[in-house]
Amino acid sequence: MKEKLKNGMLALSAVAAGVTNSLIGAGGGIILSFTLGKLISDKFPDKRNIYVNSQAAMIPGCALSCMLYASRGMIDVGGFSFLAIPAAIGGFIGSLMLPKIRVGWIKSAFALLVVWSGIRMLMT
Amino acid sequence: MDNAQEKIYGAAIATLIAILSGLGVGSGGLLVIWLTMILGVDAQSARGLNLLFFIFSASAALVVHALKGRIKSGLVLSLSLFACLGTLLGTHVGMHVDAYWLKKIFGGMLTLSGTYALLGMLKVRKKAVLPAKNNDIYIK
Repeated sequence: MKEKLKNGMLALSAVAAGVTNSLIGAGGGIILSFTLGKLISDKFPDKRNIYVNSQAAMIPGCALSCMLYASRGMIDVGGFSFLAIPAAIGGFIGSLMLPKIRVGWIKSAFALLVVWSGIRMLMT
Repeated sequence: MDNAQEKIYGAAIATLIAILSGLGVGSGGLLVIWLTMILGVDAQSARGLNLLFFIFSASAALVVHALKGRIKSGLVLSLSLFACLGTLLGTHVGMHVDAYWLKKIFGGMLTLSGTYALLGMLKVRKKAVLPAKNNDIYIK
Protein backbone atom coordinates (compact mmCIF):
# COMPACT_ATOMS: atom_id res chain seq x y z
CA MET A 1 0.00 0.00 0.00
CA LYS A 2 1.29 3.48 -0.81
CA GLU A 3 2.88 5.33 2.09
CA LYS A 4 0.61 8.37 1.76
CA LEU A 5 -2.54 6.25 1.85
CA LYS A 6 -1.25 4.39 4.90
CA ASN A 7 -0.51 7.66 6.68
CA GLY A 8 -3.96 9.01 5.77
CA MET A 9 -5.63 5.89 7.15
CA LEU A 10 -3.57 6.11 10.33
CA ALA A 11 -4.59 9.75 10.78
CA LEU A 12 -8.26 8.89 10.20
CA SER A 13 -8.12 6.02 12.68
CA ALA A 14 -6.52 8.34 15.26
CA VAL A 15 -9.40 10.79 14.79
CA ALA A 16 -11.90 7.90 15.15
CA ALA A 17 -10.05 6.73 18.28
CA GLY A 18 -10.27 10.23 19.75
CA VAL A 19 -14.01 10.46 19.01
CA THR A 20 -14.72 7.02 20.53
CA ASN A 21 -12.57 7.57 23.60
CA SER A 22 -14.07 10.95 24.43
CA LEU A 23 -17.63 9.85 23.66
CA ILE A 24 -17.74 6.67 25.74
CA GLY A 25 -14.60 6.99 27.85
CA ALA A 26 -12.85 3.94 26.39
CA GLY A 27 -12.13 2.07 23.17
CA GLY A 28 -9.70 4.48 21.49
CA GLY A 29 -6.69 2.29 22.21
CA ILE A 30 -8.38 -0.73 20.62
CA ILE A 31 -9.08 1.19 17.41
CA LEU A 32 -5.49 2.43 17.19
CA SER A 33 -4.03 -1.00 18.03
CA PHE A 34 -6.16 -2.55 15.29
CA THR A 35 -5.04 -0.06 12.63
CA LEU A 36 -1.38 -0.05 13.65
CA GLY A 37 -1.45 -3.86 13.59
CA LYS A 38 -3.00 -3.93 10.12
CA LEU A 39 -0.99 -1.12 8.50
CA ILE A 40 2.47 -0.92 10.04
CA SER A 41 2.95 -4.07 12.09
CA ASP A 42 6.30 -4.57 10.31
CA LYS A 43 7.62 -1.55 12.23
CA PHE A 44 7.02 -3.38 15.52
CA PRO A 45 9.25 -6.46 15.90
CA ASP A 46 7.64 -7.02 19.31
CA LYS A 47 3.89 -6.97 18.64
CA ARG A 48 3.10 -6.01 22.24
CA ASN A 49 4.59 -2.58 21.50
CA ILE A 50 1.68 -1.87 19.14
CA TYR A 51 -0.59 -1.79 22.20
CA VAL A 52 1.97 0.22 24.19
CA ASN A 53 2.25 2.93 21.50
CA SER A 54 -1.54 3.05 20.98
CA GLN A 55 -2.02 3.59 24.69
CA ALA A 56 0.60 6.36 24.76
CA ALA A 57 -1.03 8.14 21.82
CA MET A 58 -4.37 8.30 23.64
CA ILE A 59 -3.08 10.06 26.78
CA PRO A 60 -3.18 13.70 25.50
CA GLY A 61 -6.66 13.19 24.03
CA CYS A 62 -7.90 11.77 27.34
CA ALA A 63 -6.45 14.73 29.23
CA LEU A 64 -8.12 17.16 26.81
CA SER A 65 -11.43 15.33 27.10
CA CYS A 66 -11.22 15.36 30.92
CA MET A 67 -10.56 19.11 30.93
CA LEU A 68 -13.53 19.76 28.64
CA TYR A 69 -15.92 17.55 30.65
CA ALA A 70 -14.64 18.96 33.96
CA SER A 71 -15.17 22.52 32.73
CA ARG A 72 -18.87 21.61 32.31
CA GLY A 73 -19.00 19.90 35.71
CA MET A 74 -19.48 16.49 34.10
CA ILE A 75 -16.64 14.73 35.97
CA ASP A 76 -16.69 14.01 39.68
CA VAL A 77 -12.99 14.62 40.36
CA GLY A 78 -13.52 14.21 44.13
CA GLY A 79 -15.04 10.77 43.58
CA PHE A 80 -11.90 9.76 41.68
CA SER A 81 -9.39 10.59 44.41
CA PHE A 82 -9.42 7.07 45.89
CA LEU A 83 -8.74 5.54 42.43
CA ALA A 84 -5.81 7.77 41.40
CA ILE A 85 -3.02 6.07 43.35
CA PRO A 86 -4.19 2.49 42.59
CA ALA A 87 -4.41 3.46 38.90
CA ALA A 88 -0.81 4.73 38.84
CA ILE A 89 0.55 1.79 40.88
CA GLY A 90 -1.34 -0.76 38.78
CA GLY A 91 -0.25 0.84 35.50
CA PHE A 92 3.36 0.84 36.67
CA ILE A 93 3.26 -2.83 37.76
CA GLY A 94 1.47 -3.88 34.55
CA SER A 95 4.11 -2.20 32.38
CA LEU A 96 6.89 -4.02 34.25
CA MET A 97 5.09 -7.36 33.89
CA LEU A 98 4.21 -6.93 30.20
CA PRO A 99 7.36 -8.47 28.66
CA LYS A 100 7.58 -11.22 31.27
CA ILE A 101 4.25 -13.00 31.33
CA ARG A 102 1.93 -14.54 28.78
CA VAL A 103 -1.68 -13.57 29.31
CA GLY A 104 -3.44 -15.69 26.66
CA TRP A 105 -5.94 -17.47 28.92
CA ILE A 106 -6.57 -14.36 31.05
CA LYS A 107 -7.29 -12.42 27.84
CA SER A 108 -9.76 -15.11 26.72
CA ALA A 109 -11.57 -15.05 30.10
CA PHE A 110 -11.80 -11.27 30.12
CA ALA A 111 -12.86 -11.09 26.47
CA LEU A 112 -15.78 -13.37 27.43
CA LEU A 113 -16.59 -11.11 30.39
CA VAL A 114 -16.46 -8.06 28.11
CA VAL A 115 -18.83 -9.67 25.56
CA TRP A 116 -21.23 -10.75 28.31
CA SER A 117 -21.19 -7.26 29.90
CA GLY A 118 -21.67 -5.61 26.51
CA ILE A 119 -24.72 -7.75 25.72
CA ARG A 120 -26.16 -7.08 29.20
CA MET A 121 -25.73 -3.34 28.69
CA LEU A 122 -27.47 -3.55 25.34
CA MET A 123 -30.36 -5.64 26.73
CA THR A 124 -31.09 -3.74 29.94
CA MET B 1 -18.20 4.83 48.12
CA ASP B 2 -18.77 6.06 51.62
CA ASN B 3 -17.03 3.95 54.21
CA ALA B 4 -13.33 3.12 54.55
CA GLN B 5 -13.80 -0.61 53.97
CA GLU B 6 -15.51 -0.02 50.64
CA LYS B 7 -12.74 2.36 49.61
CA ILE B 8 -10.02 -0.18 50.44
CA TYR B 9 -11.91 -2.84 48.48
CA GLY B 10 -12.38 -0.37 45.63
CA ALA B 11 -8.69 0.56 45.62
CA ALA B 12 -7.68 -3.14 45.45
CA ILE B 13 -10.03 -3.77 42.49
CA ALA B 14 -8.78 -0.59 40.78
CA THR B 15 -5.14 -1.69 41.18
CA LEU B 16 -5.95 -5.09 39.66
CA ILE B 17 -7.80 -3.47 36.75
CA ALA B 18 -4.87 -1.10 36.12
CA ILE B 19 -2.41 -4.04 36.13
CA LEU B 20 -4.60 -5.93 33.65
CA SER B 21 -4.95 -2.84 31.46
CA GLY B 22 -1.16 -2.45 31.52
CA LEU B 23 -0.93 -6.03 30.26
CA GLY B 24 -3.39 -5.36 27.44
CA VAL B 25 -6.22 -7.33 29.03
CA GLY B 26 -9.84 -6.21 29.16
CA SER B 27 -10.26 -3.92 26.18
CA GLY B 28 -9.92 -0.81 28.35
CA GLY B 29 -13.46 -1.10 29.60
CA LEU B 30 -13.03 -3.19 32.75
CA LEU B 31 -13.29 -0.15 35.02
CA VAL B 32 -16.51 0.98 33.33
CA ILE B 33 -17.95 -2.54 33.71
CA TRP B 34 -17.08 -2.54 37.42
CA LEU B 35 -18.39 1.00 37.98
CA THR B 36 -21.67 0.58 36.09
CA MET B 37 -22.57 -3.06 36.70
CA ILE B 38 -21.23 -3.63 40.21
CA LEU B 39 -21.30 -0.18 41.83
CA GLY B 40 -24.30 1.15 39.88
CA VAL B 41 -22.56 4.35 38.74
CA ASP B 42 -24.32 6.00 35.77
CA ALA B 43 -22.67 5.83 32.34
CA GLN B 44 -21.76 9.54 32.18
CA SER B 45 -19.92 9.49 35.51
CA ALA B 46 -18.26 6.17 34.63
CA ARG B 47 -17.00 7.68 31.37
CA GLY B 48 -15.33 10.57 33.22
CA LEU B 49 -13.84 8.32 35.89
CA ASN B 50 -12.50 5.92 33.26
CA LEU B 51 -10.83 8.77 31.36
CA LEU B 52 -9.15 10.02 34.55
CA PHE B 53 -8.20 6.46 35.52
CA PHE B 54 -6.62 5.90 32.11
CA ILE B 55 -4.52 9.09 32.34
CA PHE B 56 -3.00 7.94 35.65
CA SER B 57 -2.46 4.28 34.75
CA ALA B 58 -1.23 4.88 31.18
CA SER B 59 1.08 7.74 32.24
CA ALA B 60 2.71 5.58 34.92
CA ALA B 61 3.13 2.78 32.36
CA LEU B 62 4.44 5.25 29.77
CA VAL B 63 7.41 6.14 32.00
CA VAL B 64 8.51 2.49 32.08
CA HIS B 65 7.84 1.91 28.37
CA ALA B 66 9.76 5.07 27.41
CA LEU B 67 12.75 4.09 29.56
CA LYS B 68 12.77 0.63 27.94
CA GLY B 69 12.73 2.22 24.46
CA ARG B 70 9.33 0.81 23.47
CA ILE B 71 7.85 4.17 22.41
CA LYS B 72 8.12 5.47 18.84
CA SER B 73 7.87 9.13 19.79
CA GLY B 74 7.33 10.55 16.28
CA LEU B 75 4.48 8.15 15.57
CA VAL B 76 2.91 8.66 19.00
CA LEU B 77 3.07 12.46 18.70
CA SER B 78 1.43 12.56 15.28
CA LEU B 79 -1.26 10.06 16.29
CA SER B 80 -1.91 12.09 19.48
CA LEU B 81 -2.45 15.22 17.44
CA PHE B 82 -5.12 13.57 15.28
CA ALA B 83 -6.63 11.86 18.32
CA CYS B 84 -6.97 15.30 19.97
CA LEU B 85 -8.91 16.53 16.92
CA GLY B 86 -11.24 13.55 17.30
CA THR B 87 -11.47 14.25 21.02
CA LEU B 88 -12.78 17.78 20.39
CA LEU B 89 -15.50 16.34 18.17
CA GLY B 90 -16.31 13.40 20.46
CA THR B 91 -16.47 15.52 23.61
CA HIS B 92 -18.78 18.02 21.91
CA VAL B 93 -21.13 15.18 20.90
CA GLY B 94 -20.68 13.46 24.28
CA MET B 95 -21.98 16.50 26.16
CA HIS B 96 -25.34 16.09 24.45
CA VAL B 97 -25.74 12.30 24.65
CA ASP B 98 -27.76 11.14 27.66
CA ALA B 99 -26.69 8.32 30.00
CA TYR B 100 -29.14 5.78 28.48
CA TRP B 101 -27.70 6.03 24.96
CA LEU B 102 -24.17 6.24 26.28
CA LYS B 103 -24.72 2.90 27.99
CA LYS B 104 -26.04 1.38 24.74
CA ILE B 105 -23.11 2.70 22.68
CA PHE B 106 -20.69 1.43 25.30
CA GLY B 107 -22.45 -1.97 25.36
CA GLY B 108 -22.14 -2.19 21.57
CA MET B 109 -18.47 -1.25 21.69
CA LEU B 110 -17.76 -3.86 24.39
CA THR B 111 -19.57 -6.59 22.45
CA LEU B 112 -17.66 -5.77 19.26
CA SER B 113 -14.23 -5.41 20.86
CA GLY B 114 -14.68 -8.54 23.01
CA THR B 115 -15.80 -10.59 20.00
CA TYR B 116 -12.87 -9.26 17.97
CA ALA B 117 -10.46 -10.21 20.76
CA LEU B 118 -11.95 -13.72 21.03
CA LEU B 119 -11.79 -14.27 17.26
CA GLY B 120 -8.17 -13.07 17.22
CA MET B 121 -7.24 -15.55 19.92
CA LEU B 122 -9.03 -18.41 18.12
CA LYS B 123 -7.04 -17.54 14.97
CA VAL B 124 -3.76 -17.68 16.88
CA ARG B 125 -4.68 -21.06 18.41
CA LYS B 126 -5.67 -22.49 15.00
CA LYS B 127 -2.32 -21.41 13.56
CA ALA B 128 -0.53 -23.09 16.45
CA VAL B 129 -2.46 -26.38 16.02
CA LEU B 130 -2.41 -26.69 12.20
CA PRO B 131 0.85 -27.83 10.57
CA ALA B 132 2.69 -25.41 8.30
CA LYS B 133 1.75 -25.57 4.59
CA ASN B 134 5.29 -26.55 3.59
CA ASN B 135 4.88 -29.81 5.51
CA ASP B 136 2.33 -31.00 2.91
CA ILE B 137 5.03 -30.99 0.22
CA TYR B 138 7.40 -32.84 2.54
CA ILE B 139 4.83 -35.61 3.23
CA LYS B 140 4.16 -36.14 -0.48
